[in-house]
Amino acid sequence: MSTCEEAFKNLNNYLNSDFANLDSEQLEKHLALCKSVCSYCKFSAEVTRAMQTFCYEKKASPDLKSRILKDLGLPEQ
Amino acid sequence: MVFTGEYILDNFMTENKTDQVKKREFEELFLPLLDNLYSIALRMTRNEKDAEDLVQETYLKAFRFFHRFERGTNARAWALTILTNTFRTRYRKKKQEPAMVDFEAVENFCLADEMVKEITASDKSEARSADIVTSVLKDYVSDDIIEALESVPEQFRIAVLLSDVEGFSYQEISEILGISVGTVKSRIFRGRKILQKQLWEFARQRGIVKGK
Repeated sequence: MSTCEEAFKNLNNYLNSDFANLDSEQLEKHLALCKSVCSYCKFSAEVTRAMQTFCYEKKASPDLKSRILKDLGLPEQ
Repeated sequence: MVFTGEYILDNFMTENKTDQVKKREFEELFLPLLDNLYSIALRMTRNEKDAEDLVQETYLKAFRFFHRFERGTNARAWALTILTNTFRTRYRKKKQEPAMVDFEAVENFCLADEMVKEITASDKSEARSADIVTSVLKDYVSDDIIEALESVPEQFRIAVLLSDVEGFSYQEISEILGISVGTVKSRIFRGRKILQKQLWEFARQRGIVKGK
């Protein structure tokens, strides 16, 4: 089995879509056996998912939209 | 050349029509991005008023330079380039961030190691590793994630936002921020690490994990 350090490198390549440097087979084997890297993966994925959700919670106000439309000389929708 | 009334009126009509087409095209391409740009601006400026001003200024600039936008390319990336440049030149000067991150501590922090320590410290049951993630994550609320994200210094925060929230590639982020791909990688790596450290600290403060 690969070391956790190697697995993290592979995992980063996976997360960053760096497929040229990704050894997916090695990563899958490691994840099947190593709980700590598995936990790390789950944690990172969940934090990213939470950021994606929470960052979009607040929408632009209707007032901002009106200001922009007015600036550009566009009619209110 | 004699400018007859007919010529002037014709010219006026053509220019007016071109202007209307341009406005309509701009509206179709960029107005749907408003909420998206506002969300990113809010995470950059960390307050609603500045975020609104930043977005408004971005739209004005985008419209002014709309002739430079290459049709068929990524409108969101183009708008975000203007947004980040405007933020960097205008708002960064306005509000200098205090250096609150202990970079040495961040360098030495490894979330996976902390998880291993936590598993070993409690019991050796394999189920514990899954429990840690579940118990840490279920306790986080929206404010925790936002607070942790906002604790990340600006240059790293923007890189993480563009990568993990907006889903841009290294190459695209490099073009948006005008920095090398290597610098993008390094900023994302450090930004994620600061974020993880902050979230782990929240869990420690609440007694969910023991850790140091």
